[in-house]
Amino acid sequence: MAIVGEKVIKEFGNPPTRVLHALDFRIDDGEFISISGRSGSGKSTLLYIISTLDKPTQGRVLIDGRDPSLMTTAEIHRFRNTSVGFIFQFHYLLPELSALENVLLGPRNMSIWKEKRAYAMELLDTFGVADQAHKLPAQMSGGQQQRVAIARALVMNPKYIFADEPTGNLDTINGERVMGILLDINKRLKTTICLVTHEPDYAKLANREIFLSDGHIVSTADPGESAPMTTPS
Amino acid sequence: MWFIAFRQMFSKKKQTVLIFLGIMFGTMIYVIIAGTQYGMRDYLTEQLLNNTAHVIITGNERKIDPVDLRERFFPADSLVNWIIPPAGKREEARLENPQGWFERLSADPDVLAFAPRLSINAILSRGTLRHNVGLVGIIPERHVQVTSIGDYMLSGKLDDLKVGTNNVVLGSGVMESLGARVGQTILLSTGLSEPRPFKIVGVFELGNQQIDETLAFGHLNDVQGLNRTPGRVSEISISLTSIEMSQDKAHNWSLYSNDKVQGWEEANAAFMQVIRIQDIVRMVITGAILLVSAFGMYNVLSIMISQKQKEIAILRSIGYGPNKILLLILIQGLTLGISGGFLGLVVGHFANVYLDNIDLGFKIGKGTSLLISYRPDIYITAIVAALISTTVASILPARQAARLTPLEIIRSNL
Ligand SMILES: Nc1ncnc2c1ncn2[C@@H]1O[C@H](COP(=O)(O)OP(=O)(O)OP(=O)(O)O)[C@@H](O)[C@H]1O
Ligand SMILES: [Mg+2]
Repeated sequence: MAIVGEKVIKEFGNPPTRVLHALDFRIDDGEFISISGRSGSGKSTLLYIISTLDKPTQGRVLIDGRDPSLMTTAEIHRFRNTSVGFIFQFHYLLPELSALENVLLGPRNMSIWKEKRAYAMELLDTFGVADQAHKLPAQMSGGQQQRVAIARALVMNPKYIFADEPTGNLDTINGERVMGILLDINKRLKTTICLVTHEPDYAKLANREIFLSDGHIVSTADPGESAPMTTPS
Repeated sequence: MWFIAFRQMFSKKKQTVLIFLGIMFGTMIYVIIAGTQYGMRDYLTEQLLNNTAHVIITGNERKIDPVDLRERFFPADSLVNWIIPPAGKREEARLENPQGWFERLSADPDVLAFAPRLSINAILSRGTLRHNVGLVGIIPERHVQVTSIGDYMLSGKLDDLKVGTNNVVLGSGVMESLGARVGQTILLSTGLSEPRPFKIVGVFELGNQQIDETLAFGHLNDVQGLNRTPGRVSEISISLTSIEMSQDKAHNWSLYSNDKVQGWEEANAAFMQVIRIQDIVRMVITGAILLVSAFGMYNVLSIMISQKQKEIAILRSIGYGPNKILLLILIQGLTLGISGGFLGLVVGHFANVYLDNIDLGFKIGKGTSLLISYRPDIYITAIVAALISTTVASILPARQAARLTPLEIIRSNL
């Protein structure tokens, strides 16, 4: 199964300005895709459409054959809860909750947080922040917070991870750490990852790079350094 | 949702406590004000002689009409004027046709009970002591159905009036000024008649000096006899199956005769006015307090939502739907509303119990402290008002929060 974009057009404002120009693309399960391009080229806009947060003006996106814009609110939220993990540039942890409680927000929504507690601790441990588990976000560094946010995105074992410049606010060391984590879960857990980044070095770590320029896909070049896990059709 | 809601509430303790206190004070003050007002009102109501009667029929006093009197002596169109016009009562008030009323009332299915009375003035004397009272002739078993005087007997029963003839029940103040005891015999006179001996069979005390010093009850037949007016009745108190129909019934019946027929509210117009003013005062004070705390709550929740947009966005992206976001805010508002409201009830209740036990040093009703009512509807009204105001104050910001889409928030923050 895959995420398939068919003639995806996105326009904003009145008179409408076209931000995405009839994009066709396909992201297969287990792929690690990077979306790159200059600022304002439409990277975030594309990611939001792929990830059910936004709808295309024309064309459609099919996730495993289903069009999210035709799902009910309940279905969308269930899908987000069970199948999707978001990571943003700003970590967006709830300041009143400890690191562990933040990670368990998704399971809590499904009333399975007790079952998931051990796994959440394991994730925090993997990312080197197990000792922060009972601290509030304000008591942690930016890099630690971002790793907690990634643990939160992963705790439901989602099929898809959508990350919008997760390294944007981090220094090089923490940035590389986060990239390492993403590569690792893509390999180990076969999680499909869509990563928006404007850092060429990180973009190259992906199986495949979608390069946007003014809302057009210029190339979906295989960066070549690592072989794709699945061959794009 | 509860978990997150409570965490958010406890993370801003000061605001939470302030809102909580505002709502608590609102309900507490309602309970205290309403408790004392209703307590006073119940007391005053019992003081009214017809307290539980819904309709009262009284005879019209016949006044001397100067024109009518002049026309008896001179032709109607003659130019004669009174130098000093005659004035005054021709006769004591009485019903024109009491028997007719009895028949009508007995036959009316809406009438629960009715009690005829004859009120006259009488002079009591015991040895050299004299005392003026209003003497009310009653039929005891009927009278207790339209008043609560039976609850205020210090000794004896109203029913004792029926044992033999010429018995009286006196107010405690009357007893005092005559220096009399129950079982003794005193003399009663209307002032026009020869004094007759009456036996004291009971004492009542309403707690209102003015009444306790000037009122006496006798059996209707005995009072009619003393007054030498057998069969005369000056008023009838009626209790209906439902108080709502009192005005209508009073109006209907008033068409049948010249007697004055008044519904409860009309008969106690001054009292009703006091009650209305009390109601308004209570509503205004409590309304103002609840309004202020509801506004406070609305503000705090609105501010919280605008500060927490990012968190709301993340919850939405994790799969918390709009309804759960609505719930998140509602829980916070309603928890404060319900807990603050209930604590207000409890604190208000105990404040009332405390007030109830303060010795004021003078007699009101049966005791010497404020009269407090613990009617359940006071508590129900207070908690309902607290709940309504907090629900409104939290549902508006909650719906606003639920409408936010995660994308708008994420975009505006990037
Ligand atoms: N809600 C909106 N209303 C109007 N225009 C918008 C809106 N969102 C995005 N745009 C426009 O769409 C274009 C693409 O925006 P987008 O956020 O996708 O860029 P980006 O590639 O993610 O840029 P960056 O690297 O700075 O994050 C921009 O020109 C932006 O001004
Ligand atoms: Mg962007």
